[in-house]
Amino acid sequence: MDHLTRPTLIRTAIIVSLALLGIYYLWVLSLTRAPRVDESYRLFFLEGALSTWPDGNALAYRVGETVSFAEPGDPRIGRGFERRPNQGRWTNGREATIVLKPLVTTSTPHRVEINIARVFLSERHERQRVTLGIDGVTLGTWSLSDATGETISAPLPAGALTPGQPALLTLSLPDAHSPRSVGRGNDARPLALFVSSVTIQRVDPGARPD
Amino acid sequence: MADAKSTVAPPEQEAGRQAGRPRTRLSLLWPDRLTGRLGVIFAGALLARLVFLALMWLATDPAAFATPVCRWDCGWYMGIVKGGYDLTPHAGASGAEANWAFFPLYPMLVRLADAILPWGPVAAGTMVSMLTYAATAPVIYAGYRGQIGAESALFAAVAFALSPFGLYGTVPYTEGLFGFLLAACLAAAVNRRWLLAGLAAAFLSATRITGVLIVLPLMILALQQFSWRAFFYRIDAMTAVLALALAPMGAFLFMTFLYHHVGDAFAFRHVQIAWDRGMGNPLAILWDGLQRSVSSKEFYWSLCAFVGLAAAGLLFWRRRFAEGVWQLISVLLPLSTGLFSLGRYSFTTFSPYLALALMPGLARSRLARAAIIVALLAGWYFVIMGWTEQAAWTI
Repeated sequence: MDHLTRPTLIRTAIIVSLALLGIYYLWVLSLTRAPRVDESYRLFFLEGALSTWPDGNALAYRVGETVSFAEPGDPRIGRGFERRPNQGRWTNGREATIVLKPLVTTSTPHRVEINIARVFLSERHERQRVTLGIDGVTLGTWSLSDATGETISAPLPAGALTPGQPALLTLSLPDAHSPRSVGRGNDARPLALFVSSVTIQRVDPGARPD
Repeated sequence: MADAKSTVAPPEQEAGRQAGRPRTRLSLLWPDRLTGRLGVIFAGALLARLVFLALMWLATDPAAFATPVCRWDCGWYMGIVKGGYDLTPHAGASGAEANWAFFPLYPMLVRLADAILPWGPVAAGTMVSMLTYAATAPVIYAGYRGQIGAESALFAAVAFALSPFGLYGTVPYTEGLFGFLLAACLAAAVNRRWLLAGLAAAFLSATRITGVLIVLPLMILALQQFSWRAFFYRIDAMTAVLALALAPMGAFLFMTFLYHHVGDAFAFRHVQIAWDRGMGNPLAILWDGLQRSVSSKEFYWSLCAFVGLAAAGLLFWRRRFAEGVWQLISVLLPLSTGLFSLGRYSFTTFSPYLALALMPGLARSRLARAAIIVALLAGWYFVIMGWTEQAAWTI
């Protein structure tokens, strides 16, 4: 130990401390890559799909049920819709999400229907492009030019609905723009569609496809 | 340069003079000149907090005093003091707000004070805020008198102690503790006491997430003090590196806790979505705010941010790069998420008061400095009335 001078010991202690701190920081950063959280936490905080915290089984959906956008506090109406309803809800932003957790499904095909009561059109955007997707799979694209709205509908791919697994329906709205930006009042929210309801239905096997 | 003339001897010389003076029996009981001066500054700053608190008490209903003192973020901190960290979200319009966004050092100190004092957690929180805010003033003086001159350092300390933004160092908010740790950290680093700077930085990052960014000013100071080669062999330079490595320690410990408590080490960041807080261009947000009505809270916050940025510019001009970078961070970071609380974020650390002390015209004129102190005291009226009347601009 005689050859170890005090400065050498101090230098060694600093280097060891730096190494230990580095290892600890890397370990904590590795924890951030694998959060151990439940479904509600994942959907709300990590995926940003929800705008209201879903207590209990609040995301549950029975196939055939109509989700009314006129009802307040429904957590299935996710991020990208205005929070306070008024006979429906405007989309707020370039993407809006609906989260439905089917309780029971059958092997029969399903289709989703979204009832749009109004479309925000202006001189700048005489049509609104809409792309509907489920869990990252595109279901269809529409170009809406009737301000009074319409119902858009698309078949769901096989296996899109799994009992107990939340399905994320996503509306991509690249033409959303604010009334303020086109000189129509002071509302700065980027609006596109006024949605009144959404339904997933079983398709009657005898029905003619679109 | 006129400021340099008014500078008292550097701390080492002054300490040497004092050491050389024969110590009488009385002087053994009496603190030396610097310690005494620091004690007077602390006592004065604490008195200012007590007067501020008394004025708040006079401006409100004394029977329900705890409620006006504890508003907005204070409620979250008191929730942590009483019940610890949430397991699930429970509050707000979305029902998803949780107290994970609030870092633990301040509520830990309040809980400790509450265990000792008999008046409840709000009083304990007020006490911790006032003591730490008051303690910042002597730290500014002790840390910067050798850097900018004793008179300028004293002015910065007094301006900080008497600022109307001292409101946030009176009510149970983290500002007092954060400002104290920041001043301690940078004052230690500019005086080459790097281990102390590193420990203060670690506590700073356990107080608020922005504390982690102290690594930037510390890095600037380390590079100003040492050549890059020195970091490989000189002990003081290596200690500076250790201080930099210690800085994020508080935040990492909180992340470890959150991982075991909630399951997500980044819960403090992810929970921000419950308040609908996103990031944007801070300058665009500032410009938007400056175009609002002069009587609006948005205009007031924008003006605070603008003055805060001007203070950063002044610090850069006077070559106080580390403090300038900190001032820039403390304005631009919250500004990128919106205008909310920009008065509080811009003026509750010592850096804008250091900028004020370094303002060229003010360095010579005692009259101008006195006028500024009077203006700061006049600001108390507006802040006290705003807070007690729950004006949103005081959030």
